[in-house]
Amino acid sequence: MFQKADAYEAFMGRYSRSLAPEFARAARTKVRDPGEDIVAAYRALGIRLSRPPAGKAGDSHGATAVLWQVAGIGAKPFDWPRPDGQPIDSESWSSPSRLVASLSVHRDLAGGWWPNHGIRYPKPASWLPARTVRFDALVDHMSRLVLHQPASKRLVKACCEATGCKPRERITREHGLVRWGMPRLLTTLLDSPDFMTR
Amino acid sequence: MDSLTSAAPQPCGAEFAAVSRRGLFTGAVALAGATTLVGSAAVTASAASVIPAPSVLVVLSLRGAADGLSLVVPHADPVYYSARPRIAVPADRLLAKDGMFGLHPELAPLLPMWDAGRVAAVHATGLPAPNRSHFAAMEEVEDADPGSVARSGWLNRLIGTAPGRSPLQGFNMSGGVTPTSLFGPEPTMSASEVDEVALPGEDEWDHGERRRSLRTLWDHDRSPLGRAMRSTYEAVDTFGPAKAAADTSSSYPDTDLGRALAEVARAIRGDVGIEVFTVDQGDWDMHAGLGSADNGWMVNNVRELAGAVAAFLGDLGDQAGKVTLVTISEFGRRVVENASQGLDHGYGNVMLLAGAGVRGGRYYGSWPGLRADGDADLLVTTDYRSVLAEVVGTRFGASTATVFPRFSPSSVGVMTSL
Repeated sequence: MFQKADAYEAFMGRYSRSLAPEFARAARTKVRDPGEDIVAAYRALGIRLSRPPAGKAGDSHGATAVLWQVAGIGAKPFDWPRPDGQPIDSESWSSPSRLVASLSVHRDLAGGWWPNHGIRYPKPASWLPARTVRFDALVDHMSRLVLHQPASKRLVKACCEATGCKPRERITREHGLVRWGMPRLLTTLLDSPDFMTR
Repeated sequence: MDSLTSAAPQPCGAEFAAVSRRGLFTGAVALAGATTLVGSAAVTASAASVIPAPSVLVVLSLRGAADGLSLVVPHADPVYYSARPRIAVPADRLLAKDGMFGLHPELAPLLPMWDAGRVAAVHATGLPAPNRSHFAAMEEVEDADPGSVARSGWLNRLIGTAPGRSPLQGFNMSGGVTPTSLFGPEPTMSASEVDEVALPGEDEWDHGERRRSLRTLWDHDRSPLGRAMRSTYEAVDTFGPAKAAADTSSSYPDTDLGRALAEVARAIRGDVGIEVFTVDQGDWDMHAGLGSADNGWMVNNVRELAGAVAAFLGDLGDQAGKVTLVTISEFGRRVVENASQGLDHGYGNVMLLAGAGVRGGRYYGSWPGLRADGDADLLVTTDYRSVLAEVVGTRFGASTATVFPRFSPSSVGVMTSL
């Protein structure tokens, strides 16, 4: 379902950009609010949630914990105390504490560390498009899946810095990146300006 | 008030700094930098962010509308005992009694500081008109700018009067959503503990790669979010001394408020330039089963409050001379107890003040007298903003007209002037 939605979004993006330059200029100018950040991260990473048990037993399940995550970033749905509604402008969601909280959630999801009940994270090797792939091609592949666009040179550079990989390095299932370094690569994508905006 | 002066000396230098930081140097760009070593990354932070705060204000919100008539009991008002036959606190149990008032017995941990002139109470405070909705009253109290549609709380306006835009000037130690009082255009931090103020990914296995990677992604970004990312590096790097400060939480009561105030004290002892902290204590909405003076809900909540605040005031080290704590609650409760041994939403309330600049050991405010009809409220004789304005004016040298627009404060006398 996520992939279909992503494909639809990508199609609509191309479609709308072909319609008018105003659409194209409007992309990536709005900061994602906490709810958008969380939903986009779960979708982009292909995380699956199962139905939590009723009552307290369900509190630690992903489907419930997602509420604590979004609250940590700054706004649980329907929790804004004032009648004027929670802010939807970019400035309000551009605070350092929001960034620290978002980066923390991204790291937990990228590593599959928390939530850890009632939730299924894709295996690191599942991100490989082929048995062997160059690192820069892998970043480009993942950028298309997570950010819905080809990888920029800047993104490849940032991913190299985060992981210690060289652009032409050959990545296989046995490579350290797949065995233990994938969280760093994924969180680099999630922590990028292209992910944090829409 | 001599006892206060000797208990909490205020060096002239600190006072001058309080004024000069806002007055003389407002808008000046600090040129010097300070190099901090955090983990393996040496970072230069702007000097504006590492100027120690000349004064620190801790605003402790008693969420749910605390009953001020239980916290500070008007034992000499005859209506108090007739209106509360089952839940009143007997006069012979009260502490620090004067001719009219006495403290709830569970405030005992604060008594030494009360006697030393470091803790005071202002009674019959509140909004200019009753508002019995928790959310609406909290918003009104914390926005403190009635009629304005600006999304800016009084504490955000207060830190806005200081130069620099370090997000460390205002800190919400309740974590999550910033309270209305601190919300606004000035950047602030929110975390439930000191150690949360870190850049996720800069862990023990990281040797600067994470920061390099983030800078590659963000340094060119001129948007508000890009600016916030740079501000985050600064906040995290500047926060090092707070993390290095000793964790003394074991000397606090093992309660939510105890843990939160232990973290506040640790950040204060780190002296990283935080001027304003917000902390919450919940569960004051006692409609039913409030308990007696011996046990129950009220006793437990007051015990948590007093134990945590007393531990906090004793844990400030060499920073004690600049830290002021104020309690505030969105409204008070009815004079007359209800059929469920509880109290419904009322109006006037008490505010407690402790620490630097407080002329303590006394009760302030003008007592309106209680009435005993079913819907009777404690009336408000002191606008809560007058109390806060006095703190803001004396401790921060800030313009009270900026912090509390369109409000003319009246003198309360609870703070010593600079």
